[in-house]
Amino acid sequence: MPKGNKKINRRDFIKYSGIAGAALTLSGIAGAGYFAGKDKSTHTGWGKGAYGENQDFNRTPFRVNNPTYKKAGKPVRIGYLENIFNRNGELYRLMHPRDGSNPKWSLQQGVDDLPGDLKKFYKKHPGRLDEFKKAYRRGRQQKKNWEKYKDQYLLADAWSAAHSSPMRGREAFPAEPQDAPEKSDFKGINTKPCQLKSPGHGSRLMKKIAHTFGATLVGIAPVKEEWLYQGYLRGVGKTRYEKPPHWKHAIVVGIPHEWESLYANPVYGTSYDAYSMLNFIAGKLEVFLKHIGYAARSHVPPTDYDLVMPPLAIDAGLGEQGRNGILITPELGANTRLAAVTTNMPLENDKPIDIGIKEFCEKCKICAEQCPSGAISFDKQPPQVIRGYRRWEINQEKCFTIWNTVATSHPRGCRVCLAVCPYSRKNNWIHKLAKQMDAYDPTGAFSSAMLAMQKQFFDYPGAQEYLPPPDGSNAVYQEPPDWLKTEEWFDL
Amino acid sequence: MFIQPVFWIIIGMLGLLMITSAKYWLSDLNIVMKWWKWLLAGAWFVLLSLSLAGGMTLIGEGEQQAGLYFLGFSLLIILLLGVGLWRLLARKKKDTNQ
Ligand code: SF4
Ligand code: SF4
Repeated sequence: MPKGNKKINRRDFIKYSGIAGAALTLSGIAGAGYFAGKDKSTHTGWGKGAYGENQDFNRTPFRVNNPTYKKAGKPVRIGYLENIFNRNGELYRLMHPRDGSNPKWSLQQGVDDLPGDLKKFYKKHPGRLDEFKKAYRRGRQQKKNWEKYKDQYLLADAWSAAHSSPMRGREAFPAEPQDAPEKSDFKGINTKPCQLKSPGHGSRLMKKIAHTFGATLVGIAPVKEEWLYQGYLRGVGKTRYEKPPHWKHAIVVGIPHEWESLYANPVYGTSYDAYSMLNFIAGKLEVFLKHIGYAARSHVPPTDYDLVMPPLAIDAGLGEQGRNGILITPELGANTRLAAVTTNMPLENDKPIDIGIKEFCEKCKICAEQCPSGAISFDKQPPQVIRGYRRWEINQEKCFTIWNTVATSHPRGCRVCLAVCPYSRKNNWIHKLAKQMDAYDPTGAFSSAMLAMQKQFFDYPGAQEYLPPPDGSNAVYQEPPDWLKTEEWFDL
Repeated sequence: MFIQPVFWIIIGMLGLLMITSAKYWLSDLNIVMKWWKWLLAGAWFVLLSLSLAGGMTLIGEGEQQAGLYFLGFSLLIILLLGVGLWRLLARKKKDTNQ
């Protein structure tokens, strides 16, 4: 073969190999993308956060002096009955007295037959008592329906029961305070605290410790009087009280729900997986703080709080409040559950952040569109001033009616608004990139483009579909994992 | 994952092969390349790779519909950009011939 031809052949060989190489590279990159999507280590679960590496959003450029909640009047502390679980508890106790005596109120009666504070509350909020009655009746139906569904959702129900079990009864951890904070928060301290190098050292230490206990997110906030409940204090009962002087700081911790079950809400998910974990984390922080000589009180879900969590977490710089009424964080989105420990340990507070979540919520409304109860507002701007702050409010009663309607064994929640939120996506490169770029874009153009894609490209079942037949089809947001599907393991 | 470094080494080698091959193709087509043309061509290829990876990531995480729409939409834009880029690169060839 002539020398010239050989040269041409080698050149051609490289030329065509380059094309083959490009095809191979693109296939490799497509494959890498596919496996990045499948990768379970990017689930926003709590498995790999022992040293805080999941708190990976750089908050520094977004720190602000004023939190993103908008003051619009004189702040008022949340009343005991403003929490739905407290007022429902009071109604249940009237209907089913613990001492077995005759019911003091029934569904056939009205608001005028209720005692003092309850009557005042429901008079002020017309329609809510009727919604309670509806929820109660739906609850009875739910029990009957369960016969039909109990095999199909057996594993999901068992998974939820397993998670809720450590929180029940006398053996629950952390133990319910038995005294006023001035006593109970100091109980168990048998050492004087060593000289702390600085409050900054205190914060860094407690954040590291909280991460080792399993917290995904940790922030430190000052304890403001306005976030305290009024009218009820754990360990004391119904009472009027001021902020205890030793509640100087709150260590606020956040963790997500297990990701696959979150996506399969409402019927396959549970709140208790995150709740039980938070009980352990906050309870352990309380023990740790007391052990090094500081007063501590944990505030944990589902209802053992003396403080309202979302604004406290906003002050701690963890995130911002969303349209769905809950905290949205850059790492976990709406899939963020909270607990806190109040303490007198000298700590350095974090500053709140502003990454434009409120502005995104003004445009988005996906949670409102998907909410089966219609409890989430569609208003662009929050129309109400609630206890001195302008914010969106969810209709708790309507939400609770859905808890009593979906195909679960008992009202154990819905969480669709957590799952469908665009901020709750997996922590893989594409969603992380989108969240970062959105935060750094002051024009809002990027978020509008992302939102348009979110609404056009992504599939949502539709609000009514989450309900059992005949109103819906027991739809879930995404397919459940095999480990929650009874039919994968048992003959039905 | 242990395979990851190997994967990126192979992608790097293929990248080198692609650049060498592109040089030959372009010189055979009488296209004179400047640094900014290489930059634009590189950016186009990165965009193409990111779109493919993005669509496939969505498919991998179970969002088939979103993944396919994303692929279709972004590949269409990239195709149009590619046509524009090619005309830009080829324009120099005409200039050179004149
Ligand atoms: S939990 Fe369900 S019913 Fe309640 S607000 Fe969220 S989506 Fe609506
Ligand atoms: S779904 Fe949309 S509107 Fe609702 S909380 Fe999330 S970002 Fe805000």
